Amino acid sequence: MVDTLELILRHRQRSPTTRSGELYYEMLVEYFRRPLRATEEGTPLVAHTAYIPSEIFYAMDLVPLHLESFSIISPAVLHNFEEMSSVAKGFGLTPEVCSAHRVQAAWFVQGWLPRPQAVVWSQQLCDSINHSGALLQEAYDLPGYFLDRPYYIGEREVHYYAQNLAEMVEFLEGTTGHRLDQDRLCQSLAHTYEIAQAEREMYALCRQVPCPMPNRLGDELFSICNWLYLGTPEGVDFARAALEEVRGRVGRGVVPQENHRLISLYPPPAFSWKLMDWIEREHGATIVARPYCLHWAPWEPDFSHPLESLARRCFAIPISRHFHAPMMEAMVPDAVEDAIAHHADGGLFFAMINCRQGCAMVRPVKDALLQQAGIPTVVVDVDVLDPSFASDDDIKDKLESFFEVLAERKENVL
Amino acid sequence: MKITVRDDTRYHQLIKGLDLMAEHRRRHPTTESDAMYYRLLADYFRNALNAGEAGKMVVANTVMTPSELFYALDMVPLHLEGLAVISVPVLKDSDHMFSLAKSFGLPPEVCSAHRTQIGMSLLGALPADVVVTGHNICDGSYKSGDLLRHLYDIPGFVVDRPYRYSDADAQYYAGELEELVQFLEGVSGHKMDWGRLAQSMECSRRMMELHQEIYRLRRSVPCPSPNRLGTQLLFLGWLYMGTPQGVEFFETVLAELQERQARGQGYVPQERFRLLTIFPPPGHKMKLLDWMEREHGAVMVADPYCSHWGQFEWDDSRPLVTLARKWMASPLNRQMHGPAELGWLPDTVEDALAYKVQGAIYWAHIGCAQGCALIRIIRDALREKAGIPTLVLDIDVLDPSFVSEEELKDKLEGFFERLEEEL
Ligand code: SF4
Ligand code: SF4
Repeated sequence: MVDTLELILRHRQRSPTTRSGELYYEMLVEYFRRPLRATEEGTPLVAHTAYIPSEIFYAMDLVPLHLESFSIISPAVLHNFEEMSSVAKGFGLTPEVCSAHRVQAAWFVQGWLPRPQAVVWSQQLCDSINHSGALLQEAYDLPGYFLDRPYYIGEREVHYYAQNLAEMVEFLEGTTGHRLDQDRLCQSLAHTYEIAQAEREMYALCRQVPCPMPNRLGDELFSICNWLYLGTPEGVDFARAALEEVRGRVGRGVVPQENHRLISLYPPPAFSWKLMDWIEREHGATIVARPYCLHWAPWEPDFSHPLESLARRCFAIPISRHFHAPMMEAMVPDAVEDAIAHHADGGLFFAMINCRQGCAMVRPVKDALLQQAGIPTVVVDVDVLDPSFASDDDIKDKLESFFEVLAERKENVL
Repeated sequence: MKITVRDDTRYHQLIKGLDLMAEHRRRHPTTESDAMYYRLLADYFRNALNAGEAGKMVVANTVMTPSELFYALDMVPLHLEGLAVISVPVLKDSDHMFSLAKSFGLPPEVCSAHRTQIGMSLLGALPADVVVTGHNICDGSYKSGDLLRHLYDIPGFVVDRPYRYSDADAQYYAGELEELVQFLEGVSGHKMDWGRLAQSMECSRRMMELHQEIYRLRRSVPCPSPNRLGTQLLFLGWLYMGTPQGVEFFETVLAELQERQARGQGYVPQERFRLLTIFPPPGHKMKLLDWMEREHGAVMVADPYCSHWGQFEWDDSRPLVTLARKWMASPLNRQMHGPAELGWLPDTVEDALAYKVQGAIYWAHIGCAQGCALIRIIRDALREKAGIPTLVLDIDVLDPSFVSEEELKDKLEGFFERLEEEL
């Protein structure tokens, strides 16, 4: 997988597009190369699921391995979803189970992951993750810790979560022998804050007409800054580079003519990010809002109480704050607010078919966007990892019809 | 989208169907508890329908939210998963429910229990005034509860259950229950009656003890319980926890088992295979369980997922902490939500050995990420630590079209042949 990512990187370097585009692949390669090096160098490697606060790993000098990223990126790069799916089936995981978890399980069963020293997992996206962590623990016979994030945000919940974080640190100290460095934790929180501020500024700039952020960049930011490099100087570099580019495009946008301004409500299929380029290039359709990636709740670091501050950060970060919370308090109001503020004229919901979290939100979000923001939403059924479920062509057909609807609506208004 | 018109036609049909089943059982008696089971089911759902006339509010609640609190606040509970799981086989309308859910955006890959709940909500078929949601089994409950609240525009509360069972976790959960009480006091206008809570908890304590005793008795060879019993106790426990009717049902079951055991009799004339089961069998094919015992002498003696309680300290002076601990230790809750290595895995292996089982059946409900994720781990553990094979049967607990009875019978017969050879 690392080799293929390197090939993609070299291709990008030969045909450069943007600094962030190049950095994106450089950083992916580096991120996934590190676990291999860590094993050789004897640095403890810790596998973890989405939204385990990576600031802790950096403050303890541990090498993290983000399992969902791995399972989302690997089949897209290796084109081996079918193989992974059949390994998972042999393990008892049916196609109805979320494909991200099936791919993870397949890697575990095959023993293809570099061996971590510990695993830490959490339910901050969904509780399918509860068992994925347990599976890895069992398959590799590893010590593990489950980080329990409360559902609501309130003082009692923050306190409880901070306690859980302290226990997680204790667990990691015990299993790896590395101590938490409080100064480094504060530094890491400062990096996270800088990333959050850059994302907030970029997101605010997306309100401009035309939108200055390319369609891919939102998802790249999500992957690099919110998942893989949160709390690191590298993450800050990426966010800065992206911010510079977005600032530089203010006033001129990313396409010669912006025909449709869309709010995206769920990640696009991982096997075809090119779709996002295609809607931009062929249809002048720009993603001007993506609350699940970029809508942060208010948060500022408090260096006098770093763990508590980290706990508050975990409640504020997008997608975790949208998925592990009442939908009428986060996902729905954020979508409506962003659709209006960003002047979106249509909603785009990639409905991941085996994700009960995402699918349950389809109708309330769609209704709220129509009633409160006055815009229609196209729901495209996909399996974000399985290209055989809905092909590029199927998706393009559906999107083209939607763009026709949007064009007609515009004509009627004019 | 809001559901502004409530239509209780389907709900009435369900009660009628359950009444007919109870009547049928009364006329063709098998056991006293069996007749009682259907009567209690009908009464439970009737109570929710009649609550308005009695001036009471109905709390629609997802699985494993502490019903003792509802009784103590003079509210009437309506168990959403219980309703979904029981109504579809009775009314045989799964296709209709699933197509409603599909039109709402829920594809067939989503667990059918949740799709049914959404279908029922969309029909306006739920007599609910307020929703209390938890994620004691899976986070699908959050979303189903959230959707009901949104569709009916009614107040709601989410009880956040911690993952582990430590003291700090129990305290946190008790804090959640305290907030739930405040919320329910606010919406109902009733004050918490702590004396009534104590009474309800006494019933729960008794039900728990009876359940543990019943489960212990099922170790006997031959086993004195019918195959349907585990699921019946699970459902009645869901619906009647904390009530005198629940106590009466569990006492009746225990007396029947004791009587059979005292006579040295099993429930089937000749017990050939002792089985452990994991996860609920398909609700629409309960006759398959009768067929297993009747035709093959295959008896489901152990079902840790719904019968194995965890240990905890009962402290009457701290009712909310005790309630929190009890719900964290109760079967299904303890196995599904907590760490597998603390609940599901050791409980299953322990029971396989203690109940002298020869094989295990894993009812793998296809839309359930929670249930399916551990298949391999449990199967391996049962083979390595208890020396028994496991048959994994792909099913959908609510969708009869997913797999036919014949296919299931074929697979079961193949498995029984294998067990026979090994014996
Ligand atoms: S797609 Fe849905 S089910 Fe899969 S990991 Fe994400 S939230 Fe969980
Ligand atoms: S069967 Fe699984 S997914 Fe469905 S309600 Fe139960 S635990 Fe949740």
